[in-house]
Amino acid sequence: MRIFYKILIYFFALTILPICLMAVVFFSKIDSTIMKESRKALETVTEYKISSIESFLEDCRTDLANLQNSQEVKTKLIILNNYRSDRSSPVFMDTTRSLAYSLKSLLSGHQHLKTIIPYDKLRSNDFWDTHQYLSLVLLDKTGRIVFSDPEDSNHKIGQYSHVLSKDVFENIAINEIFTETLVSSDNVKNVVLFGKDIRDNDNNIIGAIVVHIDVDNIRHIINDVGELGRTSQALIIENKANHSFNYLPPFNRDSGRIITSNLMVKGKIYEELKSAESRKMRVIIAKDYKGRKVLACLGHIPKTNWGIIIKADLGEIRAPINSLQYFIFYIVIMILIVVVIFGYILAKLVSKPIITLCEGAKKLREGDLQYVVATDSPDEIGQLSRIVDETRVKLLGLYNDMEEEIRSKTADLSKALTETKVKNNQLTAISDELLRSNLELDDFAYIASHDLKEPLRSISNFATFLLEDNKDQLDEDGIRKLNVLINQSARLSSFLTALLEYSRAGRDRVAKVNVNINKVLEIVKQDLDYLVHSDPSVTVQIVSETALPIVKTDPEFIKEILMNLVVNGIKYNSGKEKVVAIGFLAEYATLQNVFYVKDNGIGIEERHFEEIFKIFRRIHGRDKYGGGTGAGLTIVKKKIEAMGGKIWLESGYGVGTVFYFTIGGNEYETK
Amino acid sequence: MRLNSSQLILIVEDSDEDYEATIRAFSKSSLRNPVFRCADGNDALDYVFSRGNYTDKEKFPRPGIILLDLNLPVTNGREVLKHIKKDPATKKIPVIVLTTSDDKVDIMQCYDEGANSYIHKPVDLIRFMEAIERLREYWFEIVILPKE
Repeated sequence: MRIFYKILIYFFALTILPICLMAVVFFSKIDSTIMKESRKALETVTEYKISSIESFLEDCRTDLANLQNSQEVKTKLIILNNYRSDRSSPVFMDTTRSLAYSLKSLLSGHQHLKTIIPYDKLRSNDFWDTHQYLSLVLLDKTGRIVFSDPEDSNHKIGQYSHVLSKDVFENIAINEIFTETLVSSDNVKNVVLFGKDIRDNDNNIIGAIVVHIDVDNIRHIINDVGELGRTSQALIIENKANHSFNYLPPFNRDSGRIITSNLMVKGKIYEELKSAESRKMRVIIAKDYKGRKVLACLGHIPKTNWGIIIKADLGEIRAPINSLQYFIFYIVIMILIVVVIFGYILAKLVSKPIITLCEGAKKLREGDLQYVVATDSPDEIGQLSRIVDETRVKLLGLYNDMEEEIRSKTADLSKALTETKVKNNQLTAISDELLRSNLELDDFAYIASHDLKEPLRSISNFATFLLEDNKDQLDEDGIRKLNVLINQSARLSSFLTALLEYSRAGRDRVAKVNVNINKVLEIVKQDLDYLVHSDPSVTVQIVSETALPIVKTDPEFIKEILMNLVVNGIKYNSGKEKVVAIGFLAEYATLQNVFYVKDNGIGIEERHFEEIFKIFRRIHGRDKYGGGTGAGLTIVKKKIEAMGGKIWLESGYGVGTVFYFTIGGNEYETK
Repeated sequence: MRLNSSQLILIVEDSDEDYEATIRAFSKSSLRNPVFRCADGNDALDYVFSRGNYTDKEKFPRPGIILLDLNLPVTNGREVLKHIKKDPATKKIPVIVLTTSDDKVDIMQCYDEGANSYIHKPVDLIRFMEAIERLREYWFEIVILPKE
């Protein structure tokens, strides 16, 4: 990665991360503080509400206790119980009447119970603060209503007597205060009742007193939770006997509406409320009946099966954090912009000299020694750049020196080359000249020998004719002289033949065909049959010592060469068992593909090694070893050289001679 | 039995000595056929094609066989051979090249041009005589020459 981006990333990492971390820590701290405070506030309010409801209920309890414990009520209730089968009897009617009177007097003597309000005044705001009870009934021990007040109200409990009678005693026994759904012909009403049993002196139940509590009183108590926020709300929950909770009608709305138990109170709240019964209060985060996330405080109202929930939307609680969040967010954005700008500037500042240096180094690598790398910055990078630049300058010096040297050397070289060329041309010219003159010489030798032969033959012929036709006229000496003439002519002729062959070796084109040397040797053997069997006292063997190859070469040449060498091997041998061996070596000394012809003949002294290849040069007497012109080896050598090979020999005087030769070319195939 | 004893032998030979030697060899091998000698190539061609001095066909009959030397002045033997073998009227006449040259090139070229035999004139006189004797036997006793 480029250094610029590296610096930028490091800078970001070092600045942005701590800022973000700080922001997160700050937020969580504020959040927990606010939550803590909210919980505390909720708990305080809940505690206060619970104690307010408790004191209200305590008042009611006191009221009812007075009625419950009144000896007069007890006495009259016993009478009513006794006459309950005959309700129209004068005793029952009188007792009812006198009980109503007694109750009224009891009630009027009490600040609470006297405030049972007439139904028509129920909706009047004036009464809300002062009236606690909407109606009051007395029940005999079978649950039948023996007294109700107010008598004329269609709101009176008496209308619902059939409901009450069912389980009123059970309800009263469990809870002093409880809710009932009262159903009349034209109304369904959820009401809050407060009741106590009445017992005789032997503690047997003789009846009960039940009051219909004006829920406005409770509503007033729990209504005002405004200090907790706009969304705050207090609710009363009743624990029903079947282990479910019912919301009491939201008191601040329609007091008559029923909210069924399955609406909200289940799951977590249920558990929490259960535990709130034993402990004092619980604060939880839950979803309310509207589906909103709320912070709720759950409390139990002592001596009842009621719980209180005070809740507030989390959104509202956290509102200050949210607004702060935006603020912080903007701040962070601002910081980010500043960091980017500063980071960019920093990265530029730091990376620029490095990049410059890097570019310079690249230029140097590419061979641009003129590029100035140095920067004037005083730091290490500057120093490095100056070191690199010094190196560049030194290199430049070296380069210039070298260039100068190369230039001068090149000039020398080209001068030398020119001279060599001139010399080469001269040499080529000389070589051409030599070649031409050699060819001319060959031509000359050919023509001369050919043309010289004609008259020579005639001389010989006519000498013969003379001998034949004029024998009678010649004396012995004349005949001898003519014979010498004929013999010398023949000798000269053979010289000329040799010369002709020699010149031809330089003139003839060398063919290149596959030649099986084994076959060539067979032909040579056949041709030399006369020589092999010429002397019965001598045995001659011509053998091949090694496998002989198939070679691309001139068949005539190779045959002539082998023939000449084999003939020499036989001729220059005074032994009785002559052996001429032919062989082929794929490698011999430093050379490859070497033929040899080995004999067990007289051998050649080393001082004659060069002499024997010279034309017409014999190292023996004219007629010794079968005579000859002394041109054989010369012609062999010329033919070998014409094929691109060379010939040499090893010899032990009196032991034998080995002629080695190569014939050039590189296509050898040994069978 | 002389099968071709009446056939004229045309000898094309520039060397008098060689001609003499040849005639001597002929007589020694008792070859009695008429002989005519041309000393150079042009003369030989004139004779063969009945031109110049040789228009009289009675006097200069068509040769039954030609002995041709190669080394001739002006027009050499190979040229003569070429002309004879190119012409349908003369190409049937057997031409025996008799020369001192044993050059491979010469031999090949002569046979290419249609020479019927190529004989290397032996240097040795005795062997020359032998060669002529053999030639006589072959060409004048064994071979049946084409008729005109």
